[in-house]
Amino acid sequence: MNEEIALFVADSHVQLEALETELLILERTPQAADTLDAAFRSIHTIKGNAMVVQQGEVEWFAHVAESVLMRLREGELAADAQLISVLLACCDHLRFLIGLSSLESNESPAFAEEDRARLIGLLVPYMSSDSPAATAPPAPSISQAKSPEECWHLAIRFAPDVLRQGLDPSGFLQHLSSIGHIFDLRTGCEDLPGIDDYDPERCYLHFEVWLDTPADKQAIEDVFSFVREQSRVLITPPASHLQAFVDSIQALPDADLHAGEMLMRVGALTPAELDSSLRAQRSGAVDSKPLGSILVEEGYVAPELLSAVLQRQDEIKQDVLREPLHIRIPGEQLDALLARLDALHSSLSELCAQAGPLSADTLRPLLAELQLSREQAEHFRSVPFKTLFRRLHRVVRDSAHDLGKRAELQLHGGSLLLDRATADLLADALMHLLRNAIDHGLETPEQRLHAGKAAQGCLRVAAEADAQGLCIRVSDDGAGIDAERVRQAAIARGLLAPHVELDAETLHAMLFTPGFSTAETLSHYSGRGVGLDVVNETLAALHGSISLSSMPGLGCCFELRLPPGALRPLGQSAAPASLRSVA
Amino acid sequence: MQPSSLTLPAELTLLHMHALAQALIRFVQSSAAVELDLSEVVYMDTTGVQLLLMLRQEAARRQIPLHFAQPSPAVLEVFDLYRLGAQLAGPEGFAA
Repeated sequence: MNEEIALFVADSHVQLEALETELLILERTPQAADTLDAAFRSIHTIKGNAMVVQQGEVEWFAHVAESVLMRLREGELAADAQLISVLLACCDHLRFLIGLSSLESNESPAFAEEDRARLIGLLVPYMSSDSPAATAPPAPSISQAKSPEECWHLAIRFAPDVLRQGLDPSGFLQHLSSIGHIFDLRTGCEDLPGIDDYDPERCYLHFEVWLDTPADKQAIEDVFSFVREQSRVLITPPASHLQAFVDSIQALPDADLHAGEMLMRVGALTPAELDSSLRAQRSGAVDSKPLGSILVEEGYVAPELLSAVLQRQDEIKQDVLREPLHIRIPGEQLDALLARLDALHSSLSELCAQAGPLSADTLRPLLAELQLSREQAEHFRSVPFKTLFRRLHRVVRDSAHDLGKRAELQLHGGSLLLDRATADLLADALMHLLRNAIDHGLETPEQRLHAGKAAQGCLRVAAEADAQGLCIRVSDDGAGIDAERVRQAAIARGLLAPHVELDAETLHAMLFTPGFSTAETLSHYSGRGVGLDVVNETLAALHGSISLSSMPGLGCCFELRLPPGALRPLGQSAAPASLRSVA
Repeated sequence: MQPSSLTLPAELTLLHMHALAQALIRFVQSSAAVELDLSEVVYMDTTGVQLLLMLRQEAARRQIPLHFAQPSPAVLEVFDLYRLGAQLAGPEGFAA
């Protein structure tokens, strides 16, 4: 990776981090003018830098996001939760694109394109008419399908009134030709009535189209945006796409997403299809089935895709998310290190020149200097605890949002310095615990009010250093652990004999058993057999430990302990043996 | 038997469709064999296509011959878009 790009990547990650924080603030205080300005500057900087290093895709996408932020700043749009969600997703996509630019080979540009198309679709309602989407990069050249199986299949039934409204189906078919090649078409006349019932202004025809196009599902659906309400357009990808979608799902970044979101992200599902399925789910017409089954039943996605999504969700939960390791070092610190190494070099050169017998006394100060240099370099590997805060805020926001809970997150100990590698692993464990607390610990706002608590739950992550090392407490003011429920679940799984009482120690052991879950239903967040054991393993890998205390009705507190090494760069204790032996 | 022939107007569109449909239905109902001349059609929308399809269906039901003759380029373009050319031309092609 050349230097410009490396700098661009490092700087963009800082900008994105800032932007994400600003968006989260905007969601709470939509009118915060300073924050709006800052958010605008962040995206503008990314765009400008992308222009400089000729990262056209990043530049273009940042430009689109910037145009929406500009409208926010001008007061033409309100920063509601929905818009913030879209903009946060744009941050994720930009991060992905920026990550791609640092790779020598483009890993999956097709996937990036699908992602982009989906996000542009979500942004369109927020863009003004002279939006930059009109100047989208040219579509890739149209491939030549050789059989209908290689084409998208569209089953189109227009509303009977479509002709009276002046919307002629031929217009939509021509529009389709503009995004691809109509490989074949069948006009269905079966609904044409006899002379007596014939209404010349009513639409009786329906259509099947085999479209050969590089466009994605959203782009195809957009062709019918004028008639979406009353008409029914079922879009089925070519058979070959099914595997491509499965591949894309498997390549999805490690972010927590709903099944619907994942399918949208790879372009297998459009927001309108998701909306319509969610409505069906809410209306109870389909009797509270899981969303995934509804999506399959409505013909929006193939069953194979749903399985792929469920599998990927499991993987994501187990994966360790690592942020790219680009370290930014203040120039003066690097200069100081170099000066120190230069001095060492010249001292050693002098010793060489003298070529006399070496004594411990001559070498000792040099070794001390060398040790200081090492420590200084290792210091670069440490990060303040607060660098994890953005991810923690995000996970609380998203999980609470998804689970219909209200939660506030308090964070303490941000200035403690952690080893960077430890911090990354710790971030995952903390995110897991926070999700867990929101899902299992916090009650719904109604339940909380009923119990005499504030509707909004409170989560707290506090880190402090003491003689034993690092201690982090993750607490919530939710319902606490239902010991009886754990006991029943343990009995049901044969982990506990029915008559045995559960003491605190056994309770703890149960909760950290791999695959243990008290959830009765399988949801995105819980009941998938991936739980606290993962956190336990992470802590064990860091030579730490975890314990928990619970007060029924009042909440729960996890205490994470890490040895002193977590606070100081791990490499320090492992100075090369060769150096030690000289001393 | 010489079919009754009728030359359709320049516009087969929504705007004139009610009157046109009534006239054509009467014409087909009163003829023993029908030829509809499409040479002067300049613009045809989906209401026009539907009408032609419905008339052909009605003729088939009554077992009278119905042919479309000399389709203009505008008509052929719409037939082509809907892939209906072969169906509306019949086995011998469009009448000359």
